Amino acid sequence: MKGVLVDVQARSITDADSITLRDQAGKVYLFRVSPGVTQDPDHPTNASHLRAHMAQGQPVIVTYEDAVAGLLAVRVIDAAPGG
Amino acid sequence: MSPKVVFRQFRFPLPTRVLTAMVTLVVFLHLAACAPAAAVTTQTPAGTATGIAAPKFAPTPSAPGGLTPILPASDMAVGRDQRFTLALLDSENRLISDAGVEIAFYKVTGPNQVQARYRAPAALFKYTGESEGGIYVARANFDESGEWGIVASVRRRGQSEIQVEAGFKVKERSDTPAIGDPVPASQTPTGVKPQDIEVFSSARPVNPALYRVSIADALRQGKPLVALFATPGFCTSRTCGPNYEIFGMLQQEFGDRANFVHVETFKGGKPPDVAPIVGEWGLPSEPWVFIVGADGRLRDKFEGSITVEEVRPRLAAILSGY
Repeated sequence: MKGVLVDVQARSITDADSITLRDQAGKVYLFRVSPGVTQDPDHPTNASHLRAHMAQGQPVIVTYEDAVAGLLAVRVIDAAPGG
Repeated sequence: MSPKVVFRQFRFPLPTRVLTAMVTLVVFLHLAACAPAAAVTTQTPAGTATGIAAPKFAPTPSAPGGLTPILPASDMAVGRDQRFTLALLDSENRLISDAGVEIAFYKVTGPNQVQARYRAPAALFKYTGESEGGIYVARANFDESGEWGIVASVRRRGQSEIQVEAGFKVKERSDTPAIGDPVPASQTPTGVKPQDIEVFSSARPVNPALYRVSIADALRQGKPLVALFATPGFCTSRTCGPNYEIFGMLQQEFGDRANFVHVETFKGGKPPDVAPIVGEWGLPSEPWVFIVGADGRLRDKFEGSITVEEVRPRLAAILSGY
Protein backbone atom coordinates (compact mmCIF):
# COMPACT_ATOMS: atom_id res chain seq x y z
CA MET A 1 0.00 0.00 0.00
CA LYS A 2 1.34 3.39 -0.96
CA GLY A 3 0.75 6.63 0.87
CA VAL A 4 2.09 9.29 3.17
CA LEU A 5 2.76 8.81 6.86
CA VAL A 6 0.78 11.10 9.10
CA ASP A 7 1.85 9.69 12.45
CA VAL A 8 4.77 7.67 13.79
CA GLN A 9 4.74 6.35 17.34
CA ALA A 10 8.20 5.22 18.38
CA ARG A 11 9.84 4.04 21.56
CA SER A 12 13.39 4.78 20.49
CA ILE A 13 15.48 6.22 17.72
CA THR A 14 15.22 2.91 15.88
CA ASP A 15 12.01 1.14 16.89
CA ALA A 16 8.58 2.27 15.76
CA ASP A 17 5.51 0.91 17.52
CA SER A 18 2.95 2.07 14.99
CA ILE A 19 2.54 4.14 11.87
CA THR A 20 -0.50 5.81 10.39
CA LEU A 21 -0.67 6.06 6.63
CA ARG A 22 -2.93 8.15 4.41
CA ASP A 23 -3.31 6.60 0.99
CA GLN A 24 -3.85 8.37 -2.31
CA ALA A 25 -7.60 8.09 -1.89
CA GLY A 26 -7.46 9.80 1.45
CA LYS A 27 -8.16 6.73 3.51
CA VAL A 28 -6.22 6.35 6.73
CA TYR A 29 -4.76 3.10 8.00
CA LEU A 30 -3.08 2.24 11.26
CA PHE A 31 -0.32 -0.36 11.25
CA ARG A 32 1.58 -1.93 14.06
CA VAL A 33 5.21 -2.20 13.03
CA SER A 34 7.01 -5.51 12.99
CA PRO A 35 10.55 -5.50 14.43
CA GLY A 36 11.56 -6.90 11.08
CA VAL A 37 11.02 -3.50 9.48
CA THR A 38 14.09 -2.16 11.25
CA GLN A 39 16.12 -5.30 10.63
CA ASP A 40 15.27 -5.77 6.96
CA PRO A 41 18.69 -6.56 5.47
CA ASP A 42 17.75 -5.13 2.09
CA HIS A 43 16.05 -2.00 3.31
CA PRO A 44 16.30 -1.33 7.05
CA THR A 45 13.85 1.39 7.96
CA ASN A 46 14.13 2.76 11.46
CA ALA A 47 11.76 5.02 13.33
CA SER A 48 13.77 8.15 12.64
CA HIS A 49 13.73 7.47 8.94
CA LEU A 50 9.97 6.99 9.08
CA ARG A 51 9.63 10.23 11.00
CA ALA A 52 11.71 12.02 8.38
CA HIS A 53 9.43 10.70 5.67
CA MET A 54 6.44 11.90 7.63
CA ALA A 55 7.78 15.39 8.20
CA GLN A 56 8.62 15.83 4.56
CA GLY A 57 5.57 14.21 3.03
CA GLN A 58 7.64 11.63 1.23
CA PRO A 59 5.51 8.65 0.22
CA VAL A 60 6.27 5.13 1.34
CA ILE A 61 5.12 1.68 0.32
CA VAL A 62 4.01 -0.53 3.18
CA THR A 63 3.92 -4.29 2.87
CA TYR A 64 1.63 -5.67 5.54
CA GLU A 65 -0.14 -8.66 6.97
CA ASP A 66 -3.81 -8.50 7.89
CA ALA A 67 -3.55 -10.15 11.28
CA VAL A 68 -6.21 -10.77 13.89
CA ALA A 69 -4.81 -7.95 16.02
CA GLY A 70 -4.88 -5.54 13.10
CA LEU A 71 -2.63 -4.57 10.26
CA LEU A 72 1.04 -5.40 10.75
CA ALA A 73 3.64 -3.63 8.63
CA VAL A 74 6.41 -6.04 7.76
CA ARG A 75 8.29 -3.86 5.28
CA VAL A 76 8.35 -0.14 4.61
CA ILE A 77 10.27 1.24 1.67
CA ASP A 78 10.64 4.61 0.00
CA ALA A 79 8.34 5.35 -2.89
CA ALA A 80 9.27 7.76 -5.61
CA PRO A 81 7.49 11.08 -5.05
CA GLY A 82 4.49 11.29 -7.25
CA GLY A 83 5.17 7.85 -8.52
CA MET B 1 -8.05 -9.27 1.61
CA SER B 2 -8.78 -5.61 1.60
CA PRO B 3 -7.41 -3.84 4.66
CA LYS B 4 -9.70 -2.26 7.13
CA VAL B 5 -9.95 1.50 7.09
CA VAL B 6 -8.94 2.96 10.41
CA PHE B 7 -10.09 6.29 11.65
CA ARG B 8 -7.96 6.75 14.67
CA GLN B 9 -7.42 9.46 17.20
CA PHE B 10 -4.46 11.53 16.19
CA ARG B 11 -1.57 11.32 18.66
CA PHE B 12 -3.59 10.68 21.77
CA PRO B 13 -7.14 9.75 22.50
CA LEU B 14 -9.47 12.30 23.98
CA PRO B 15 -12.85 11.60 25.47
CA THR B 16 -15.82 13.02 23.62
CA ARG B 17 -16.53 15.49 26.35
CA VAL B 18 -13.06 16.94 25.99
CA LEU B 19 -13.52 17.14 22.27
CA THR B 20 -16.76 18.95 22.88
CA ALA B 21 -14.96 21.40 25.07
CA MET B 22 -12.39 21.88 22.37
CA VAL B 23 -15.12 22.64 19.87
CA THR B 24 -16.31 25.26 22.26
CA LEU B 25 -12.81 26.62 22.40
CA VAL B 26 -12.67 26.85 18.64
CA VAL B 27 -15.93 28.76 18.62
CA PHE B 28 -14.59 30.94 21.38
CA LEU B 29 -11.44 31.66 19.43
CA HIS B 30 -13.56 32.65 16.47
CA LEU B 31 -15.55 35.04 18.57
CA ALA B 32 -12.57 36.40 20.41
CA ALA B 33 -10.21 36.71 17.53
CA CYS B 34 -8.58 39.75 19.04
CA ALA B 35 -8.49 38.47 22.58
CA PRO B 36 -5.24 38.86 24.51
CA ALA B 37 -3.01 35.86 24.98
CA ALA B 38 -3.86 35.52 28.65
CA ALA B 39 -5.21 32.21 29.82
CA VAL B 40 -8.92 31.81 29.26
CA THR B 41 -10.88 28.91 30.64
CA THR B 42 -13.88 27.52 28.87
CA GLN B 43 -16.11 24.90 30.32
CA THR B 44 -19.11 23.18 28.86
CA PRO B 45 -21.28 20.35 30.02
CA ALA B 46 -20.69 17.08 28.30
CA GLY B 47 -22.71 16.67 25.19
CA THR B 48 -23.39 20.34 24.70
CA ALA B 49 -24.92 20.86 21.28
CA THR B 50 -22.80 23.37 19.46
CA GLY B 51 -24.08 22.71 15.99
CA ILE B 52 -20.55 21.88 14.90
CA ALA B 53 -19.23 18.40 14.34
CA ALA B 54 -16.69 17.42 16.97
CA PRO B 55 -13.12 17.59 15.74
CA LYS B 56 -11.75 14.14 15.10
CA PHE B 57 -8.11 14.87 15.85
CA ALA B 58 -7.56 12.46 13.04
CA PRO B 59 -6.35 12.69 9.47
CA THR B 60 -9.57 11.71 7.81
CA PRO B 61 -10.97 12.40 4.38
CA SER B 62 -13.30 14.86 6.00
CA ALA B 63 -10.55 17.01 7.48
CA PRO B 64 -11.42 20.69 7.05
CA GLY B 65 -10.42 21.88 3.61
CA GLY B 66 -8.87 18.52 2.96
CA LEU B 67 -5.90 19.48 5.13
CA THR B 68 -4.23 16.96 7.39
CA PRO B 69 -1.95 18.19 10.18
CA ILE B 70 1.31 16.42 10.94
CA LEU B 71 3.25 17.11 14.12
CA PRO B 72 6.77 15.78 13.57
CA ALA B 73 8.34 16.76 16.90
CA SER B 74 8.99 13.90 19.31
CA ASP B 75 10.46 15.68 22.32
CA MET B 76 8.17 18.53 23.34
CA ALA B 77 8.67 19.47 26.98
CA VAL B 78 7.94 22.15 29.52
CA GLY B 79 9.89 25.29 28.79
CA ARG B 80 9.90 28.54 26.93
CA ASP B 81 10.81 29.13 23.32
CA GLN B 82 10.24 25.53 22.31
CA ARG B 83 10.44 24.81 18.58
CA PHE B 84 7.02 23.59 17.48
CA THR B 85 6.75 22.18 13.97
CA LEU B 86 3.67 21.61 11.86
CA ALA B 87 3.37 20.13 8.38
CA LEU B 88 0.14 20.30 6.43
CA LEU B 89 -0.90 17.78 3.80
CA ASP B 90 -3.47 18.70 1.20
CA SER B 91 -6.08 16.33 -0.18
CA GLU B 92 -3.57 15.07 -2.74
CA ASN B 93 -1.05 14.12 -0.03
CA ARG B 94 1.23 17.03 -0.89
CA LEU B 95 2.78 19.31 1.69
CA ILE B 96 1.44 22.79 1.31
CA SER B 97 3.81 25.72 1.44
CA ASP B 98 1.67 28.60 0.29
CA ALA B 99 -0.35 29.37 3.40
CA GLY B 100 -0.17 31.83 6.21
CA VAL B 101 -0.53 29.99 9.50
CA GLU B 102 -1.20 31.13 13.02
CA ILE B 103 -1.33 28.62 15.84
CA ALA B 104 -3.42 28.87 18.99
CA PHE B 105 -2.09 26.68 21.78
CA TYR B 106 -4.30 25.39 24.52
CA LYS B 107 -3.87 23.12 27.49
CA VAL B 108 -6.25 20.29 28.20
CA THR B 109 -6.79 20.83 31.91
CA GLY B 110 -9.34 18.14 32.58
CA PRO B 111 -12.60 16.66 31.47
CA ASN B 112 -14.68 19.32 29.72
CA GLN B 113 -12.00 21.89 30.33
CA VAL B 114 -9.33 23.47 28.23
CA GLN B 115 -7.39 26.67 28.63
CA ALA B 116 -6.40 28.84 25.72
CA ARG B 117 -2.87 29.89 26.46
CA TYR B 118 -1.57 32.00 23.63
CA ARG B 119 -1.19 32.36 19.91
CA ALA B 120 1.92 32.43 17.81
CA PRO B 121 2.54 32.99 14.12
CA ALA B 122 4.16 30.08 12.34
CA ALA B 123 6.91 30.84 9.88
CA LEU B 124 7.22 28.76 6.75
CA PHE B 125 10.58 27.24 5.91
CA LYS B 126 10.74 25.53 2.55
CA TYR B 127 12.77 22.39 2.23
CA THR B 128 15.75 22.37 -0.04
CA GLY B 129 16.70 19.75 -2.59
CA GLU B 130 14.11 17.55 -4.19
CA SER B 131 11.30 18.57 -1.87
CA GLU B 132 8.58 20.95 -2.92
CA GLY B 133 7.07 21.36 0.50
CA GLY B 134 7.93 23.10 3.68
CA ILE B 135 7.36 23.09 7.38
CA TYR B 136 5.70 25.65 9.61
CA VAL B 137 7.61 26.56 12.76
CA ALA B 138 6.32 28.42 15.78
CA ARG B 139 8.00 29.08 19.09
CA ALA B 140 5.92 27.76 21.94
CA ASN B 141 5.92 28.26 25.69
CA PHE B 142 4.78 25.22 27.61
CA ASP B 143 4.34 25.96 31.28
CA GLU B 144 3.10 22.53 32.28
CA SER B 145 3.23 18.97 31.09
CA GLY B 146 0.34 16.88 29.87
CA GLU B 147 -2.08 16.97 27.00
CA TRP B 148 -2.08 20.02 24.77
CA GLY B 149 -3.79 20.91 21.56
CA ILE B 150 -3.51 23.39 18.76
CA VAL B 151 -5.90 25.11 16.45
CA ALA B 152 -4.01 26.21 13.37
CA SER B 153 -5.65 28.94 11.35
CA VAL B 154 -4.61 28.37 7.74
CA ARG B 155 -5.04 31.11 5.17
CA ARG B 156 -4.42 30.35 1.51
CA ARG B 157 -4.78 32.82 -1.31
CA GLY B 158 -8.28 32.91 -2.68
CA GLN B 159 -9.66 30.56 -0.06
CA SER B 160 -11.54 30.94 3.16
CA GLU B 161 -9.60 30.50 6.37
CA ILE B 162 -9.46 26.90 7.53
CA GLN B 163 -8.95 25.77 11.09
CA VAL B 164 -7.14 22.52 11.71
CA GLU B 165 -6.85 20.88 15.11
CA ALA B 166 -4.31 18.46 16.49
CA GLY B 167 -3.35 17.13 19.89
CA PHE B 168 0.02 16.27 21.39
CA LYS B 169 1.74 15.60 24.66
CA VAL B 170 4.22 17.77 26.51
CA LYS B 171 6.71 16.02 28.77
CA GLU B 172 7.82 17.33 32.13
CA ARG B 173 11.41 17.11 30.92
CA SER B 174 12.74 16.55 27.45
CA ASP B 175 14.75 13.46 26.64
CA THR B 176 17.37 15.63 25.01
CA PRO B 177 19.16 18.31 27.04
CA ALA B 178 16.80 21.13 27.99
CA ILE B 179 17.44 24.73 27.03
CA GLY B 180 19.75 26.12 29.70
CA ASP B 181 21.08 22.76 30.81
CA PRO B 182 24.74 21.79 30.51
CA VAL B 183 25.30 19.34 27.67
CA PRO B 184 27.29 16.10 27.96
CA ALA B 185 31.01 16.43 27.34
CA SER B 186 31.04 13.56 24.90
CA GLN B 187 34.15 12.16 23.38
CA THR B 188 33.53 12.17 19.65
CA PRO B 189 35.93 11.08 16.94
CA THR B 190 38.08 13.64 15.19
CA GLY B 191 40.14 13.63 12.04
CA VAL B 192 41.96 15.75 9.55
CA LYS B 193 42.33 13.76 6.35
CA PRO B 194 39.14 12.70 4.51
CA GLN B 195 40.24 9.09 4.33
CA ASP B 196 40.65 9.03 8.12
CA ILE B 197 37.29 10.68 8.70
CA GLU B 198 35.51 8.31 6.35
CA VAL B 199 36.30 5.50 8.76
CA PHE B 200 33.76 6.81 11.26
CA SER B 201 31.61 9.24 9.23
CA SER B 202 28.99 8.17 6.70
CA ALA B 203 29.01 11.50 4.88
CA ARG B 204 30.28 11.53 1.31
CA PRO B 205 32.12 13.63 0.60
CA VAL B 206 33.14 14.42 4.15
CA ASN B 207 33.65 18.00 5.26
CA PRO B 208 36.83 17.96 7.38
CA ALA B 209 35.87 21.25 9.02
CA LEU B 210 33.25 19.34 11.01
CA TYR B 211 35.70 16.94 12.67
CA ARG B 212 38.49 19.19 13.95
CA VAL B 213 37.54 18.90 17.60
CA SER B 214 35.45 16.59 19.73
CA ILE B 215 32.46 17.83 21.66
CA ALA B 216 34.44 17.46 24.88
CA ASP B 217 37.33 19.52 23.49
CA ALA B 218 34.97 22.13 22.13
CA LEU B 219 33.38 22.60 25.53
CA ARG B 220 36.79 22.86 27.18
CA GLN B 221 37.69 25.69 24.81
CA GLY B 222 34.96 27.87 26.27
CA LYS B 223 33.70 28.63 22.80
CA PRO B 224 30.17 28.15 21.46
CA LEU B 225 29.47 24.78 19.92
CA VAL B 226 27.08 23.75 17.18
CA ALA B 227 26.56 20.00 16.93
CA LEU B 228 24.80 17.99 14.25
CA PHE B 229 23.70 14.47 15.11
CA ALA B 230 22.88 12.69 11.87
CA THR B 231 23.67 9.77 9.67
CA PRO B 232 23.88 11.41 6.25
CA GLY B 233 25.14 8.34 4.49
CA PHE B 234 22.06 6.35 5.39
CA CYS B 235 19.39 8.97 5.04
CA THR B 236 20.51 10.61 1.83
CA SER B 237 17.32 12.30 0.77
CA ARG B 238 15.68 15.40 2.08
CA THR B 239 16.48 15.28 5.76
CA CYS B 240 19.91 14.06 6.79
CA GLY B 241 21.76 14.72 3.56
CA PRO B 242 20.65 18.33 3.21
CA ASN B 243 21.14 18.85 6.94
CA TYR B 244 24.80 17.93 6.56
CA GLU B 245 25.22 20.31 3.64
CA ILE B 246 23.35 23.10 5.40
CA PHE B 247 25.43 22.51 8.51
CA GLY B 248 28.56 22.91 6.39
CA MET B 249 27.24 26.17 4.99
CA LEU B 250 26.60 27.48 8.49
CA GLN B 251 30.11 26.42 9.49
CA GLN B 252 31.55 28.44 6.64
CA GLU B 253 29.62 31.49 7.81
CA PHE B 254 30.03 31.16 11.58
CA GLY B 255 33.03 28.88 11.95
CA ASP B 256 35.24 31.68 13.24
CA ARG B 257 32.98 32.13 16.27
CA ALA B 258 31.92 28.57 17.10
CA ASN B 259 33.08 25.00 16.77
CA PHE B 260 30.98 22.88 14.46
CA VAL B 261 30.94 19.14 15.09
CA HIS B 262 29.16 16.39 13.18
CA VAL B 263 28.36 13.24 15.15
CA GLU B 264 27.17 9.93 13.75
CA THR B 265 24.18 8.42 15.55
CA PHE B 266 24.82 4.85 14.42
CA LYS B 267 27.94 2.80 14.88
CA GLY B 268 29.94 2.86 11.71
CA GLY B 269 27.51 5.36 10.25
CA LYS B 270 24.94 2.71 9.41
CA PRO B 271 21.94 1.29 11.26
CA PRO B 272 20.92 -0.71 13.15
CA ASP B 273 23.49 -0.43 15.96
CA VAL B 274 23.01 2.84 17.81
CA ALA B 275 26.11 4.77 18.90
CA PRO B 276 26.52 5.27 22.67
CA ILE B 277 26.27 9.03 22.27
CA VAL B 278 22.57 8.64 21.42
CA GLY B 279 22.00 7.59 25.02
CA GLU B 280 24.28 10.29 26.41
CA TRP B 281 22.22 12.99 24.69
CA GLY B 282 18.87 11.21 25.05
CA LEU B 283 18.05 11.36 21.36
CA PRO B 284 14.58 9.94 20.63
CA SER B 285 15.08 10.52 16.91
CA GLU B 286 17.51 11.93 14.40
CA PRO B 287 18.76 14.25 13.01
CA TRP B 288 19.23 16.98 15.61
CA VAL B 289 21.15 20.24 15.70
CA PHE B 290 22.15 21.68 19.07
CA ILE B 291 23.54 25.15 19.71
CA VAL B 292 25.58 25.38 22.90
CA GLY B 293 26.82 28.59 24.48
CA ALA B 294 30.38 29.24 25.58
CA ASP B 295 29.28 28.32 29.10
CA GLY B 296 28.49 24.80 27.96
CA ARG B 297 24.74 25.22 28.33
CA LEU B 298 22.24 24.49 25.60
CA ARG B 299 20.84 27.57 23.89
CA ASP B 300 18.70 26.11 21.11
CA LYS B 301 17.88 22.82 19.42
CA PHE B 302 16.31 21.69 16.17
CA GLU B 303 14.82 18.28 15.53
CA GLY B 304 14.53 17.00 11.99
CA SER B 305 15.09 19.02 8.88
CA ILE B 306 16.73 22.39 9.13
CA THR B 307 16.98 25.26 6.71
CA VAL B 308 19.58 28.00 6.56
CA GLU B 309 16.76 30.52 6.75
CA GLU B 310 15.58 29.22 10.09
CA VAL B 311 18.86 28.46 11.83
CA ARG B 312 20.97 31.39 10.63
CA PRO B 313 19.17 34.15 12.56
CA ARG B 314 18.93 32.04 15.69
CA LEU B 315 22.62 31.20 15.51
CA ALA B 316 23.61 34.77 14.70
CA ALA B 317 21.73 36.04 17.73
CA ILE B 318 23.36 33.51 20.04
CA LEU B 319 26.81 34.20 18.64
CA SER B 320 26.41 37.96 18.57
CA GLY B 321 28.41 38.32 21.74
CA TYR B 322 31.36 36.33 20.48
